[in-house]
Amino acid sequence: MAGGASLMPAPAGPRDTDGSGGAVRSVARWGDTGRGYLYLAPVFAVLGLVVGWPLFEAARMSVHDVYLLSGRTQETFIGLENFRTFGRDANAPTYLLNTAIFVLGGMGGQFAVALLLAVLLSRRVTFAAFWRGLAIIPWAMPITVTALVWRWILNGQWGILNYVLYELGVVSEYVSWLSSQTWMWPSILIVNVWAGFPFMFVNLLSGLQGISPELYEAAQIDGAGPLRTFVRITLPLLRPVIAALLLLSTVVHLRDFATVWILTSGGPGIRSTTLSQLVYITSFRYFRMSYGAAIGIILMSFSLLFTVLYLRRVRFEV
Amino acid sequence: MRSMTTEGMTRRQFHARLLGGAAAVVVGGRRRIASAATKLTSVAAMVAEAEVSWERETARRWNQGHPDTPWEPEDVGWEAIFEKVLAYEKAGTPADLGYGWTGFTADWHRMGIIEPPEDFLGKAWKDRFADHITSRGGDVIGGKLWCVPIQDAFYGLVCRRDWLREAGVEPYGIRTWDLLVDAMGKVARARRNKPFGLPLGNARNAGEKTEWFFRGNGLNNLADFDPAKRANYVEVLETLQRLRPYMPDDAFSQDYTGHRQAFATGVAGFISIGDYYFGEVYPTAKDLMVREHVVIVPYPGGSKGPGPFTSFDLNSYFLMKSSKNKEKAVQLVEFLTRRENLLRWSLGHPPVKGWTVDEAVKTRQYGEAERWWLEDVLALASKVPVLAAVGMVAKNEVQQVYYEHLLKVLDKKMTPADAYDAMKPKITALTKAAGG
Repeated sequence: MAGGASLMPAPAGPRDTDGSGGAVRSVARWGDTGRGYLYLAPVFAVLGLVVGWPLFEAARMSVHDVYLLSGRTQETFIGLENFRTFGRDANAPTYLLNTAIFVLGGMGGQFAVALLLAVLLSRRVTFAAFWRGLAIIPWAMPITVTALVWRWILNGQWGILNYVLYELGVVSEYVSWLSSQTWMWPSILIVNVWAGFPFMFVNLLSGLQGISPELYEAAQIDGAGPLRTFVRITLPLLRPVIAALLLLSTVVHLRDFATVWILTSGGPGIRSTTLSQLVYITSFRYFRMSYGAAIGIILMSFSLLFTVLYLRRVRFEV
Repeated sequence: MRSMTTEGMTRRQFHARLLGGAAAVVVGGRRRIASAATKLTSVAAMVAEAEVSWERETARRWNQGHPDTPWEPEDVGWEAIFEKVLAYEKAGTPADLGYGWTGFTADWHRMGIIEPPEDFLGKAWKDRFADHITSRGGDVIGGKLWCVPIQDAFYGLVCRRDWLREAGVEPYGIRTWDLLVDAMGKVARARRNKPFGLPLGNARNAGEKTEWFFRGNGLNNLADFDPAKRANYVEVLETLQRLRPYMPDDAFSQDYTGHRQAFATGVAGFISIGDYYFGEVYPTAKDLMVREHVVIVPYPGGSKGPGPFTSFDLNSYFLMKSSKNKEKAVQLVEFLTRRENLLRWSLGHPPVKGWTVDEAVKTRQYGEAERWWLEDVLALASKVPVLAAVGMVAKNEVQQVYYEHLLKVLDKKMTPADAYDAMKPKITALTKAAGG
């Protein structure tokens, strides 16, 4: 093994004449380990500063009462009261439901579109590279730009979607896509799917290309139809990729703020307010920093759960 | 052996020049650092063409006269200005001047982050401003003016005069809420549309744009739960419910920008807005903003209010308490509020004493094109009482509670009386917790 960091026991060398070789090796090993940690120290320092400290501060704040309007320096310890307050909030079920709709709808929609396109474009099609490139374009756009453009498209008064649908006779009057009870969530999810499916598409496509063509040939010889082949061969072999993607997507959707905020600002009312927006609103609009931190911790717990599942899966696969 | 550079310079000469250049860079950099130490900062929300050009020109003039203390203004969107000012405060890097409007003053005063400029500049400075500005309104707390007024604005209903003519309604005849509902019905029938514009896409806009109903019915603001005035509050909600059939459904996704665009594009014909609207919309809707099409009329009054009225509020810089260059910041405040600078500001109308339309159109950005509007604005304020906007603490959270209940009232999922009873304990608790 290159370098001096091998954990394998080294044979005693010619200088090991007094029987103290073990101690020397041990000291050397500790020296190597120490040096290793020394090299990693900058990473630990940066992680501690940009992740550890804010996390600690958020956790600390969540058990205090920090309300900027009542004086910036007052911090009273209140234990788990902020978490209880969230539990008692009559709007909490709506926030959780909205978060679930956004996470499940966005993840499911992205996955469905990505899988369909990946299966279609993994075959030999004319201009395959062009179509694949086209499918990736939404991914290249910053989400802020995407959401702003879509907000214009979906505008209920002068949006181009209404104009086109009205001219085609599909709708008899303009639809308020971003405020109607019926169309608000589908509109938000369409934007989310459009912006997010390419990531899944690229991964699924690469997964599909890793499946040996011989398996498909064998299935064809055995008389399996396209659906049976897909269910019995493609899906099982894609399962590791799919599982990782769905877990990652869940975490990404849980913390997504920009899409919904730019489209609806969480409104009308709280009809599209998700937990990530609630953290922002509570902390920076209401100045209830500690309550916002507590909601952030709740949100992070959900994310953490799926992150752990993802990491376990990755370790298992490795 | 002498080594020569391309221009025949000796090595020594070359090194000397290199050293000289480096020294110049270092000295220049130090000078920049030195000047950065005394640079004045502001964070504002100049977005409209007129605002941006005013600030740029004013900064240029200041910097010309004060090279040792240059002013570097920063601007963010108006939606973010309240939080941005606080973020700088919290981060320990406060701007010397903040920016906002009357609705912000109570909260910032409560937080203790602003100072009254009159404490530094005295009565002579305060006397520059119109009497209504310095004597009442949400910017006057404890008898002191807590802001640096840049823009005064009278508020009213900005209406499509041509739509009213078409429906046979006389604009200045809309003096009560009943007449307003009646007029909206007539216009809606004549034009087959929903003409009453109201941004209901978020709490802040919904709160700010329905605030006039409260003042028009004897209440201070939407947080006024004086038990003796319960009927006043309920009547406000009832009237909004009666106006619902004339509000476009898209209003529920509109923010302030969408709201004013709705008027500019002919979707809405009646919006509550300040007289700054001319300057905001004129650059993109020159044909619309003429006397033939548009009129600003006083707000109609509720049955328990003062009758038709206008109200005012200010757009202002704020002298931040923790400014690190207080003395210079005060000098900048004095400069910004000189009469010639305030007369150049091209939104709303000048906050100074005794201004005239003739005087204003000479230096304002849109010149003579704005004359009819400024004349109408002055006429508006001379015919009806000018009520002051009264601020409230915990503004954002209070507005959110109100907004959620207002939507239920508009959807008829809650009666106005029930909404009042549900809101009262929540909003009272919020204002109390924030020290209101």
